[in-house]
Amino acid sequence: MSSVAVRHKQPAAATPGFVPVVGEIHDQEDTDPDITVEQPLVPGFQFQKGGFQLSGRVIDVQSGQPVMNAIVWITMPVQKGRPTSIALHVVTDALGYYQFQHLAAGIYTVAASRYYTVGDGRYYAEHIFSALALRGDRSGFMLSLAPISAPGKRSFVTGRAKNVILIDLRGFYANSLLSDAQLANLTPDLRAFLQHANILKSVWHPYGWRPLDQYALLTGSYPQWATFDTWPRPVPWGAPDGVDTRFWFAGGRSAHLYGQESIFDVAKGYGMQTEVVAGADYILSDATTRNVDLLQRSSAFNADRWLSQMEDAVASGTQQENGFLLYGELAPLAPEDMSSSHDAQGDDYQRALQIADQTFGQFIDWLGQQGLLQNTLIALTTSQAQANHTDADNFYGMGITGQGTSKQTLLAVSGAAMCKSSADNNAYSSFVIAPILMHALGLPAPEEARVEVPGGCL
Amino acid sequence: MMINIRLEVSARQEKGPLEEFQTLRCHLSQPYWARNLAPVFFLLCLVLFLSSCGLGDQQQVQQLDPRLKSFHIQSSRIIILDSQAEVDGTIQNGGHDRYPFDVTVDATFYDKAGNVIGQAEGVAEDILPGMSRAFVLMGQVDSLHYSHMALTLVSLRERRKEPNLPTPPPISP
Repeated sequence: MSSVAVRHKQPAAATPGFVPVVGEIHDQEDTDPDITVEQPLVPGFQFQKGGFQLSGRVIDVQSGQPVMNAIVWITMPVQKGRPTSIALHVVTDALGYYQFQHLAAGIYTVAASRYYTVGDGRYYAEHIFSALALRGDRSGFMLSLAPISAPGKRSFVTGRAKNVILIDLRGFYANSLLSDAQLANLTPDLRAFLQHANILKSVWHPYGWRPLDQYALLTGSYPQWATFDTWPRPVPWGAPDGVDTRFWFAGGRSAHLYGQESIFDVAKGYGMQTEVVAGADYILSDATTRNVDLLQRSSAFNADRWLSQMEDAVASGTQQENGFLLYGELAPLAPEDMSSSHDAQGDDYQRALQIADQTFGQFIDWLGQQGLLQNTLIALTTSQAQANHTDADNFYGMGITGQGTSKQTLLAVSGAAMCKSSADNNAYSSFVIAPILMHALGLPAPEEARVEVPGGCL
Repeated sequence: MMINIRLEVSARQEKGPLEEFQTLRCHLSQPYWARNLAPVFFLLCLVLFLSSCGLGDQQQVQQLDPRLKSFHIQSSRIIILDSQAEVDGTIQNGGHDRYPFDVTVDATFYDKAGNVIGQAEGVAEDILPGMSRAFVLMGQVDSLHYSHMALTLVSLRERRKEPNLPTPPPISP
């Protein structure tokens, strides 16, 4: 694979005016005065009774066979300056049939996908069928999906990692590990790991907001917004999808159905065990929960519990013939302490960083004692920035854009299939992380990952 | 069957030789009545207890509707937040009845040693034949010791939630 550095274009200078968008009203930080429109639970285009019916089948484009259990959803195209609606979802039956009832007349967008197997060894990538005019009942609307093979088992190649553990140092700046000399004595274990790892030092999250960036981390793609998406037309970094990222859906679970493929989906398709150990605000989209065997969340961080959960997950995963994928958030910095500055000596940030370092060190030591470092890839990322919408911008500066609108992370990878330590200072989007992890396992990148794996050691 | 056997044993104990002798000797005398109140009460409780066990068994037998065999859990996953457990999954109705069913699903959580460490319950609503429906089970679990879970289909009974409101008065013309 050739190296693909992400070009960073400056966002348009136009000042966004207030645009009413269905979105979050329970803003924890209370910093979004613009968000005023509540997320309804019922799509705005569906009546309680009456209206029109839309029905049809989802079929395999190659075989013509019905696709059961496919997710089909329908939305109205977004109109600038007008409130939008959540999508309406259904699941196809055993014969691939779906049905929407009580719809208003209008122009709709219909999409379908199935990123999990039902024993047939196939996934179906999301496909969007736009500009569907509904002026009356309509039946027989066929949705053809292209199959993706899901082998259900892995073919191991010498030198490839069997397992992967991705640890996100939640709440900590990349620079606290990379360049902040004042924090060196607080992070001996993390820095020891970095010394032996392959590091991408300049990785930038596309949004600067956790839920979206976490989604990007685990899928390699922007979330498929319920209302608007420009994919496959690429959009410049820093202006994701042209959508004001201050707006974030925080409605019910159905509001987070994006239908895209995550690293868990890929791993599960090859028979791997998948587990997550995370904080309470782990993003509960379908992509980030669907193929996770066990998702354990905790409201408050406890190092002993975190270690126990991670070790249990690893112990269970080592019994799997096809290996395991474990994603763990190491987040000892409590949300209420996020405003603590990295250079405030002895303050919450530094104390939490020290706990993170010790816990990480204990976990790596335990993996070594279990003899797992030979066949397990350890990947480390960080995630911290208040960017793009508050005064508390990245304390380390204005970021690579010079506007403080970026959220820097790093990717450090160590273990099987990795050459000895290297450092890459090129700028990358965090979209690169999911493909890199899959590539290291010898697996394909998530279907809609937007960046290829760079060359070199990674 | 088990109930009958237990009741027979109790009856034999009740009709012991000493008791028969006392019955003849002091019929309903106060000391005798008082002395026998406790065993009678105990027996009554025992019968009630055994009866309730039997009823429980009968109810369970009733709940094992043969039509449950037509339903198959296609996928399930557990999401834990501290001690709260949520099990999400899909279930399919492989039967041919024309009617939709509500299927009550139970999840039992186990630790590594196979001990029960929590449970969750929920209902998949209105599953027509051939269709799959999602279900969400909510419950509690000892998350620190969670190892695995088992899902059980419990009932096909429709669940109706009566609103806790007074019945409105009839509208008079």
